[in-house]
Amino acid sequence: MRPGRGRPAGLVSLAVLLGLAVATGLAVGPAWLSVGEVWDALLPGAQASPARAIVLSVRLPRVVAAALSGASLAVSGVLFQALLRNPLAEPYLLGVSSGAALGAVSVLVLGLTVGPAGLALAALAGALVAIVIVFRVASAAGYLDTRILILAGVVVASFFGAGVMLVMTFAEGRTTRSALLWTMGSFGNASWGMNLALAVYSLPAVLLAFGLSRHLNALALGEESAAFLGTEVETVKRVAYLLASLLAAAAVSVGGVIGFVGLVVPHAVRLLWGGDHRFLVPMSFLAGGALLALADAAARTVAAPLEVPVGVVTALVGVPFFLVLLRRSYAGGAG
Amino acid sequence: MPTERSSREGCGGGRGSDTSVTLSRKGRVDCVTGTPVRVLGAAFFVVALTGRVLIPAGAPDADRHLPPLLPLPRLADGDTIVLTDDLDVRVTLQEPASRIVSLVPAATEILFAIGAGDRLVGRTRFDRHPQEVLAVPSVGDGVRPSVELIVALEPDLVILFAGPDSRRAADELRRIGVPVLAVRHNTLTDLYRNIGRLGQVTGSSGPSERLSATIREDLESVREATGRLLRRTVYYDAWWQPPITIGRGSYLDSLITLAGGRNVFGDLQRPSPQVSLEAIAAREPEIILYPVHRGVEGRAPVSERPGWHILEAVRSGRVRVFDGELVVRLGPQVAAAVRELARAIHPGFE
Repeated sequence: MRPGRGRPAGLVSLAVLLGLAVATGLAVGPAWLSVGEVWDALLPGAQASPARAIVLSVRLPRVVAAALSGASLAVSGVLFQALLRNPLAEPYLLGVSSGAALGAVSVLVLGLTVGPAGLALAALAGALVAIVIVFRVASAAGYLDTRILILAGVVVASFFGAGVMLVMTFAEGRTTRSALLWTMGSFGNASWGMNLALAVYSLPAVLLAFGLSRHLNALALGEESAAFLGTEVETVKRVAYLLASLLAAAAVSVGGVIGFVGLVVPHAVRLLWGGDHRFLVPMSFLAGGALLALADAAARTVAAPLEVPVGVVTALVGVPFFLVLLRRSYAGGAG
Repeated sequence: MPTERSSREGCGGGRGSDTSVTLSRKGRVDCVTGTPVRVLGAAFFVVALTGRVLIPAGAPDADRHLPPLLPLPRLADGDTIVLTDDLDVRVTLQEPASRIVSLVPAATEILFAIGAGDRLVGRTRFDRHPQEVLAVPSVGDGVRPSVELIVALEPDLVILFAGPDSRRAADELRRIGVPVLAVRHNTLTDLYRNIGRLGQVTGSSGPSERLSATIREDLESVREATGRLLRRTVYYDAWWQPPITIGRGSYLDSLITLAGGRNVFGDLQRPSPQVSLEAIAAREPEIILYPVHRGVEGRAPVSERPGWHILEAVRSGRVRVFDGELVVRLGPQVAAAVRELARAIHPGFE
């Protein structure tokens, strides 16, 4: 397939895929409900029943949280890859996840009785601290130096990672389970309040990222070329960095650390439909949402009544798919 | 036996006590005859401090005083204690243990219950029962224990969990010459077996048999009383992020049965399986058992957790709060624990 062709059709098919993923997420779970029961539960004005409670109060908030987080992570990955012009760039590269993990794990291990919302806030606070430190170090020269950004980000990530290990050393058995669950990702704590916060926070950021698409395309040619083409390189870089970090922070606060989505979804979309950010941003949004909604459905179901960490599912299923895609796209030396 | 210990502490001028005394900690290890374990303890301490084996200065013939790695069997003594532990290792004691380090809180409690509490010289930081235990020094977590801390207490018996986490420590202690009793302690059968074993190693078989008999009778009378009541299905809330409950592999599952309940996850083999909210809802428990523990907790009340109101038991207010401290340990108080559970499951019981 030649990149660039069939992009509108691609957008539509990804939107359909997201819809199917959400439907699947609602239809499956450890309690086996028939499709009819699920459908009845979703109709407005249906009678209260255990099935309705399960579908509306357990599955729906989770599916929405997973889709929103996946979409945020994928867009964050697009921004980081454009900003750093590095194929290895992903939302967690620059310390967002370790900052968030330190915030969340500290709260868990200290045994503070906070609800899931408190946990999400602690994670967000940790992520923001990491973002601010990295940003300040990287802009010390008066402009945002992407080499320093990577270096500072990776170093800050190690620092917070060590903090997580230190805190875990003092944890007792059960809090370790909570902390471990958090560091491997789960949407078990999704609630409508949290989803609303995530949507209010992520959707505008995604729209802004979409608005930056033309400049991101210019940036892909190199900073000098982008400046020639009339892009305010410094502003674009700063905005892209902050948007990407905030999107990752929001996602990580809700679902914990879920790898793979932010790294691989943008690459997959690029391999299939090309690197034009006007399509890359919305397509990654849809594909990331679909992937994580499906992964969460699988995480809840495959080992029921146990739950598998959702990050494990994304990597185990996503990586082979991506490797096949990578091999096909570059087979025979064609770029 | 306390008398034994005091006589040893006085130890008097025996063979070799003039040459190999190199270490005096708070005036306690000032002679090295009699108990090889102690010498090893001291030697280990020196090794730990300096990083190498020290030959005491001025003791050209120090080798002569090095004790054998394992206490030599005393022939014709008749009261040598031999038993097999749960790592399938044969444990041999020449005499009843008098300086015990227990890394199994339930074993600690049993020791006190059979009148051997005064022989405890070390415990874990989780030991809280009975109160007297707090006066005994703690060696930390109990899992992956520090061999150095244990040896410094000069025990003549170390009791630890038979599991992968303490295997290395068990091997190391045995190599140094400290007898180790590794026990499983997950079921009521384990409880009875360990009461018997602790009676054996402390030479208190009489009290341990009486304790087992009392527990059996108590449990039988509760079982009879709850047998007349309608059996309720229960969900045991051990942890909530992720939801962790108990399965058939846990003694709590049998305690719930004795208390007139039926664990909705009793079909799961693992002792503490992780489940999901939806799976709990699908099994429709009539009652949620919510144990309250002392100290740092961090578990949100059931009714405040997002989504948990989908459980009929939560909506109808059938979350039963009870004293978890009584229930989380499988010790001599087990009948009281079953009564507490029965009261939580059947309001107005007894």
